[in-house]
Amino acid sequence: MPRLSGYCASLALVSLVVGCSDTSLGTTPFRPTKGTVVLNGFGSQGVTLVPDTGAITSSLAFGASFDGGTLRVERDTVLTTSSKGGGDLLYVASLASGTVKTIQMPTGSNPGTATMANGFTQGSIVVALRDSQAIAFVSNVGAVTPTVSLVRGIGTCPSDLFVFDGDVWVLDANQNCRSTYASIGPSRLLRVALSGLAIARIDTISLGTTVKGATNMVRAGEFAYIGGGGDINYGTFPATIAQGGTIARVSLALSALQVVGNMPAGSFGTKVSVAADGALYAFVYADPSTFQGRAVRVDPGSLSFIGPFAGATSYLNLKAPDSTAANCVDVIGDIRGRLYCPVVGAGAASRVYVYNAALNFIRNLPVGQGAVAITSR
Amino acid sequence: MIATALLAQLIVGATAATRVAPTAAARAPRPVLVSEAGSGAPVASASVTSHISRAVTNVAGVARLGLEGGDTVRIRRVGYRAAALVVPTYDHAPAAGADTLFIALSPVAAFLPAVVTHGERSVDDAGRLVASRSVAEAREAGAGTTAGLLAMLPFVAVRGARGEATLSMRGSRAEQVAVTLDGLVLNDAGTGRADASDIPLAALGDARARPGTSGVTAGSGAVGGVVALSSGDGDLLSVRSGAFGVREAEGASSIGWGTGRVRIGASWREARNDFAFTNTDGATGSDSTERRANNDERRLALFASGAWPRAQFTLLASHAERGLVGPMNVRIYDADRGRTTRLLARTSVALGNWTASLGVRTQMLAYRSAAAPALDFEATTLSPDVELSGDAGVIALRAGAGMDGGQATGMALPQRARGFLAAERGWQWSGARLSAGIRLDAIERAGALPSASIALEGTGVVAPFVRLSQAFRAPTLYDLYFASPQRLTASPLVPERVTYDAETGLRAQVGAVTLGATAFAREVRDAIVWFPGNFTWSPGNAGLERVRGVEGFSAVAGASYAASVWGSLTASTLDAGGLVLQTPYVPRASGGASLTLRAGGFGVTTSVLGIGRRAFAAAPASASTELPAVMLTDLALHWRGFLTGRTLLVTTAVTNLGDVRWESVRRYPAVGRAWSMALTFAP
Repeated sequence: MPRLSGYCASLALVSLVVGCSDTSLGTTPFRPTKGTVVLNGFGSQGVTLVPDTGAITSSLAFGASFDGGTLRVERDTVLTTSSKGGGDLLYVASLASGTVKTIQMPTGSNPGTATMANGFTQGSIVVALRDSQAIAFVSNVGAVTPTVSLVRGIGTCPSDLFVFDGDVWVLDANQNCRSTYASIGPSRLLRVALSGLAIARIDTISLGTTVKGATNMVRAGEFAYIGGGGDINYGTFPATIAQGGTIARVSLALSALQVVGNMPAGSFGTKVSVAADGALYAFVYADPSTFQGRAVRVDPGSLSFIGPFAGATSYLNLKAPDSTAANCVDVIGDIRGRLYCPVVGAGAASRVYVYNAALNFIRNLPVGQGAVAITSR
Repeated sequence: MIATALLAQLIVGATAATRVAPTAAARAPRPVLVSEAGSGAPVASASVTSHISRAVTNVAGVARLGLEGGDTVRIRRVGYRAAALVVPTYDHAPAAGADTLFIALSPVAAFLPAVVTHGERSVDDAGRLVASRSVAEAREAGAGTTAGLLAMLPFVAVRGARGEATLSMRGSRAEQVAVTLDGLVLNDAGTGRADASDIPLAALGDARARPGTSGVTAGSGAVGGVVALSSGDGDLLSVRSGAFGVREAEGASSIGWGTGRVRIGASWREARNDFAFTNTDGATGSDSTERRANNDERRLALFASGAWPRAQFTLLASHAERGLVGPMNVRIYDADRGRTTRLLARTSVALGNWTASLGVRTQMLAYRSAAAPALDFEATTLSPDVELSGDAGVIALRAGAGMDGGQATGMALPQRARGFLAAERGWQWSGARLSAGIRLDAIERAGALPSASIALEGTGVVAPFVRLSQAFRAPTLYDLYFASPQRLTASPLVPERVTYDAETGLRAQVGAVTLGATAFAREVRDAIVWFPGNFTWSPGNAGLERVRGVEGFSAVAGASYAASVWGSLTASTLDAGGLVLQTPYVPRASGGASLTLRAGGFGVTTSVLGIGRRAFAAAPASASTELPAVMLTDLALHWRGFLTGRTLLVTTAVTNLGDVRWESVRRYPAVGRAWSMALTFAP
């Protein structure tokens, strides 16, 4: 399997080479604030709060075990997870009180995204467990030992999820999550109806043949936007793209795929976000050789790209202070149309570039180390 | 101290000192003791000739041949400058036991192979504190592995998460310490690190720590310092058993071979390492006591060395398999296994007054994941080297060439050629010595890299010293690959450069007391450090590394006792991206002490090692990213006697007497209290 296996083997070697690349750290004192939230995966693991006023940032430390990359903020609660390499942990952080609670997920379950299970009696949080092919409801979250209840038989690699209309909607990446994360086939959206902790029905919503490696999605009203990461073969030299990045829109009311759009040619690793003003953004890697991170703005209806573009590309014209293309690791917008682009520099020192709606550079702010994701609060 | 010997040779030629009493002229067999200048260690397999007879020194460095006053004795040994001595003419016969002729040989150039002889001496020892520990001492103190030996060295920190033993000196990262065996660099071309865990203790005679940059002598990677291992000598048979399933047997035997000797040996070790630990990283709300699983190891090594007056060789083959248990709260690695196979060889021959050396080392790594076989991988690196060293007048010259290459699953590792030319010279005045060296390395994809060093030191009982050195560290093969996996950038990284490594201090030896203290500062530009980037961990020229510190030691030894104490204060930071990051696992304060008492054949050694708070992440200073300070105490009892004409050493030891639960590497628990017992036969 020349696809991802070689590269993942390399990554496994990296983990040996760099040894226990021990990480962590809290930075400035925590101060509750509105604005955007940056997830720090290295050094000062935790979240950094970026106020929308340009005031200084503050952070909330998760501790050295954290290795996650998914971020879900609902009201004042941050939900994220550590993978099987980080101990299979669910992190529940309160931005109001500045407290963090870790909850043990089943060993080797390799948690993905977690979200609030509003309206469910099975638990208050539901977590995608990629390697267990399950979702887990967490109840009694405030107790010393919360209750974790599994619902198994959920796809091949359940990576992301949300709740809507009384059901759990699970994005099955259809990847080999237990080892190489190689694509097995097209990704799909699963609508899981539950009766207690039993599966009453699973509706599989096809996303078409071009949506592969989809590990994230976002809900906007009665629609879900799904980022197809693509299918990259790192076993060739140079790496080849068997399937590039995509974005798909699904009508939740109809339980049907409506449209699929391709990301810019040569790009992959699509990650979608919906801004507070309703704009749809996506982060992509521009090519599999440099992993240059770029951002696109997408028309939610046609899924076509919206400028201002960087030259003849479809990427947004986001410039770093030195006028080079900003190498974002994620992108999000706020209610005023401003864009936030976290970048990672030397020593994994991270900053957030802030742009106005016209993409003029406004400011940049330090956000600790190892920024991996950003979202609005 | 080391420069003393070399400088003396450069200026006055071979050091030869006679201590014989006046004697009548008669060609009676007389002992000639050949030792190494500086260390005083005996030099075996040296050719000692007069105009009518010839002999070769034995393990004790002694040769016997018929001599009379006025005879000229010539001594040759590969790797050393030839020396000559005129036997004095005396009026009276020498007193019994006082007829020995003494002669000290100096290395032909820096960084010599040291097979069968002891101690690796070079001008690079000038202007710094140097510490050494013999394997014999370490065995008495309870050490059974090379990692244990190295842990006893002052100023050296040994670290490992899953059975490996990597080193740090003077605030360095593991890849910034050069480790050599008889002059052959052991650092892996792929990672830049040297894993000393699979070097059998029976193969070694001693270990020497040379803190501080040594770019002129050791080339790429000698940023924080050099640890030089030397092959052992003589016969040996040792068995050892200990807690957590430790079982070990090793032996070596020396035999005469022509005018030289060959030593062959083997080592076998296995251990379950299933010690109890406290899981402090769970999400249960409280700590739990658990036991390490899949932490076992099996090691086998074969080694050989040989020395003749004009040639010598070193050969080592080792194979280790171990479970690759994960961090304390991670279970997915509980079935993963790793295998490491290492082969290294080096041979040196004398070509007139020059020495030619040929070395090759290869390391094969295999990783097996039972849960995810798709992640299995294998990696092999290979590094052949050739070197020529000798003197051109008063200049000691060395030139060498080599290459690094490798292959690994899913990776197209680069290959590269390299070469170097180095020159060193010394000067001596009344009460002071000066040594200086320059070196130019040329490395494919890294360019031409000059290094220089200069050291000035006193020669009295109290010897102040000052040194200024430079060095570099070329990107490793993995550095190059992961910095540009698709090789879109031909030279994605530049070598990190030690712009200066300065130190000043003093050494003193008054009777049986030795002491020294030094203050040092180092600046490394373009430090190559791995950080997470946009996609995954990758290396980069992260920024400016600064190290400051002080070190000191004192030792005293007598017939029935030996005591030593050392300590260091170090600050090691990296300026990167507007952040000041701590260098992981460099304690701000560390130190140790040991005391050995002997009476009759019995002895007791107690040692204490203190490791201060240290960061475990390359992150800004914060208590939340630091491991707590620990104090570890070891105790060993030994009895030395005779059995069937051979020395028998019985040792029983308890390490970590206080059963301190600590972590050498964050989230990887280290072993608590453990006992061992060893029997060692020697000639």
